[in-house]
Order: sequence, then C-alpha cells, then structure tokens
Amino acid sequence: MHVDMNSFFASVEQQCNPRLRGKPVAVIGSNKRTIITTASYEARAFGVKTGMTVPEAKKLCPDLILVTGDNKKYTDTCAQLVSLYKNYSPAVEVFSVDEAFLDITGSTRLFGGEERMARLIKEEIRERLGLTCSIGIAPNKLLAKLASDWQKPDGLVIIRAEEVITLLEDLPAKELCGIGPHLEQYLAAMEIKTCGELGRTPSVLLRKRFGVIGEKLHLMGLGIDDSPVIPLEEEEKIKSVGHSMTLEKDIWDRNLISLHILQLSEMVGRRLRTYGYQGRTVALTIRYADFTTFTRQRSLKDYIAHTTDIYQSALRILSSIRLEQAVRLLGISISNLCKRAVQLCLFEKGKKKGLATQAMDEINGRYGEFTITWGTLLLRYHHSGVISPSWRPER
Amino acid sequence: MTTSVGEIIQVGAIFGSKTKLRPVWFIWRGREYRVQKVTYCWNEREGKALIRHFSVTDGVNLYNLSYHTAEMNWYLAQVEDGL
Repeated sequence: MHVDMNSFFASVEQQCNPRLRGKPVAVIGSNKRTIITTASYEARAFGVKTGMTVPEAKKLCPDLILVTGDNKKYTDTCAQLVSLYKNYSPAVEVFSVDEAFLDITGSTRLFGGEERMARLIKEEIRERLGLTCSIGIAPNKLLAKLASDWQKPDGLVIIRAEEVITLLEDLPAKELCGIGPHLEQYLAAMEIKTCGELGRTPSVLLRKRFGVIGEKLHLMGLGIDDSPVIPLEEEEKIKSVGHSMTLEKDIWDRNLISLHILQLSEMVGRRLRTYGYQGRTVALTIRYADFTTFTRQRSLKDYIAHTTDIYQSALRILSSIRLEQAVRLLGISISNLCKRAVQLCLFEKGKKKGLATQAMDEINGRYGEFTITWGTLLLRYHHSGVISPSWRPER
Repeated sequence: MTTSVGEIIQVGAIFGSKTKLRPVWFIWRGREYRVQKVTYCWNEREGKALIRHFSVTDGVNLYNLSYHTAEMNWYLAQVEDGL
C-alpha cells in the first residue's frame, strides 16, 4: 500500500486556518527569494506548481494566498500519520514527509480486505487531521506508488496481479518511479517509450547501455519489484549529512560567504554529532546567480565531526575556487561516515576543542538550536531550512 | 493579516483522556477570549522541551497558542485577523 498525502503542506495550512479552505493557497519558504513549495488543488487549477517563483505563480493566479511554511508543523503531522499507519501494519516505510509504504500482506484479513482497510485509513486521517490522501494498493511498491498517482485527490486505486501486463503495455515509461527526464530521453533514443517496450527489451541490451541498473529497468517494465517495505527501525545507516541555503541576495564577498559556510558547518556538525557519526569527505556546493551549480569535495586523512574542522575544510575548498559570478546558494555536506568513537586527544588544544563542542552541544540540545553559538553568527541568517530527504520521525 | 505576538498569557485548559490538552479560554491584554474551536495542533521540540501548539479560533480571529512544557507557560504566538 502506498499512501500519498494530497497537497500536504497546503492542506495542513488550510486545516489550521479555516479562512484558507477552498481558496488558492501556496506554501512558500521564509527566504525573500523563495519558490512555491506546495500549491493547494484550488491553486493548481490555475496552473500554479511546485518550484515556480512567486511572481510566476501570482501571474497565473492573482488571488493566490501565500503562506510561509512551518516545517515543524509538517514533520510532526507526518509523525502522527506514521503512528496511525502502525495501527494497520507494523511494517511502515517513510518514503518522504508526505508518502509512506505499508506492507499489508499480513494484516488485510484483520480489517476485512485491502479496500476496506484503505477506506478505514482514509477515514481516520480525515477525522483526526482533516486531511485527504490518495492510496494505491498493488502486488509491490513500484506498482502501489503508480496506483496512488492515478487518482488525486482523495483517490483509491487497486492494481491486481492479473491486470499488471495489460495496464503497463501502453503506459509511458516515465510514469514509473525512478525514471526521470534524463532516463526517459536515453530510453527514447533506444526507441523505448512505454513500459511494454521496456519490458520486452532484453535485459542484456539495457545492461550494456545503463550498466547495473539495466536489469532493474527491464524488471520495472514488467511491473516486477521485489524491494521490501523497510520499516523505520530497520533503515540503513545514513550515508551523508548536509545543509544548503539560498542567500537573501547574491554575494561576491568571500568574507560573507565564509560566514554562511560557518553557519552551514555548525548545522551539519550538530546533526552529525547528534546522530553519533563522523565523516571524511567534505563537499561544498555553490550555485551562481544564473543557477549554474557545482560541487567540489575533499577527502581527509582523519574522520571529523567538529564544526571548526568542517568549516576549515570547506574554506580550503572555497579557496581553490575562482568565483565567476555572484553566489546565490551554498551547501555543505559530509559523507564517508562511520560511527563516532570517543577519542582521547593527546594535545591540550584538541581536548579543549572537544570539551567546548560537547558543552555547546549539551546546551543547544537542552534549550534549542543556536542557543549558544559562535560570536560571528549572532547576526546570522535565520535559516528555517527545508525538510531533508533523510528526515524520519523519531522512533 | 498575521501579527507575531510572543506574549505569556493566562489560559484555561482541559486535560482529558481523548484530547489530552485543550485550551478553552485565554486572557490577553485584559480581555477574555473564548475558544470556539481548535482547528489544528502539533508538537515541536526545543532542545529537551516539548512545545504543544494549538491553532484556535474565537469565531472572529485565528490565534496560535503554545504551551511550553518545561517552563509551564502559555504563549500567544500569533494572531491572524478575520476569519
């Protein structure tokens, strides 16, 4: 079963504020140069879409009501939804903040069949939170996600095993989750446009063109997906931790850029230490004013987790870059992670740094992020952040 | 129009088994407001403290009330005119 909340952020805001119900609403970020994060169905009727700039959206829908998003509201709502899903199946995989997979193989009998179970879930979500969702039920995750997409909003679509081949025959391959615009183009160059054509293409040809994913693409064309629903408790360890921010205005000044890098390093370092990890590869992402984006990275000899070490690494990367334009967005990430072991530092300077970081982490952990911070960040950009793709509700 | 307030207020609330905590009235700047409906609620963590947020209406305006469990204070976070 795949559950996809309808126009999630906008719907939550419409629940909070009855004045917004039935009106075209778009949720935006707190940054002055923000974009549309989600649009309500009333706004979508005017053509307003995620990713549009505010002026673009206002042109399409002059009566559009803009609401600054509140990520804490949405992540808590997601946590409430996951708790609800667990009443129906112990195997719940959080795919994103507004989507989840449930393995209902063992529990449909308890709820009178899959359709009744889906209707019970929809009704409970509507009653408890006032929100709607689209549910897809199918023999596997790939098809369940496809099914939920077919009826929005407030949909329920069931794909039975015997219907799969017929349904997929003329379906455009790009409709499958995992086939984006670039892959669609490469497949089209091989004269593969539909799932039927993809399924009939020998896997050896697809492996020759796409490498190891060629086999998976062939199976996808046949509607085959053996991937299990991975419950929260069994998720793989994290592979990287990162943060990025769009700056209030494009900047050339390296001192200002360094200040933002320090803030990002603190945010990344805090999360890394909270998860109990350290990393060896630091990456700096820069987006110019014309949206040209690139990433440079540097792998270190030793694992790091302190903010100052991440910051110094990022600065070294920055010093190796000749800026060609003013900078619009900065991002820092750290990868090549391992669990953090307590290390005994031989030198006084290192010991003091470790103790200071530990003290700062304890204060910020008790009283809230940036309760205590670096002096240069007192006038920092108050970055509310986006919901990271790796965010998951607390177990 | 949304106005940020951030003031500590007096709140009368019901603790129950189904809806664990529900504000019923509050006093702000000397005036009493009756909560007609709680439109939404959600939790937030600030460090170790849990903050319980309530979006409520008195039938005229929309108010964002927050209960800070560590301080044991209620705040009026925001007011939105007109409903």
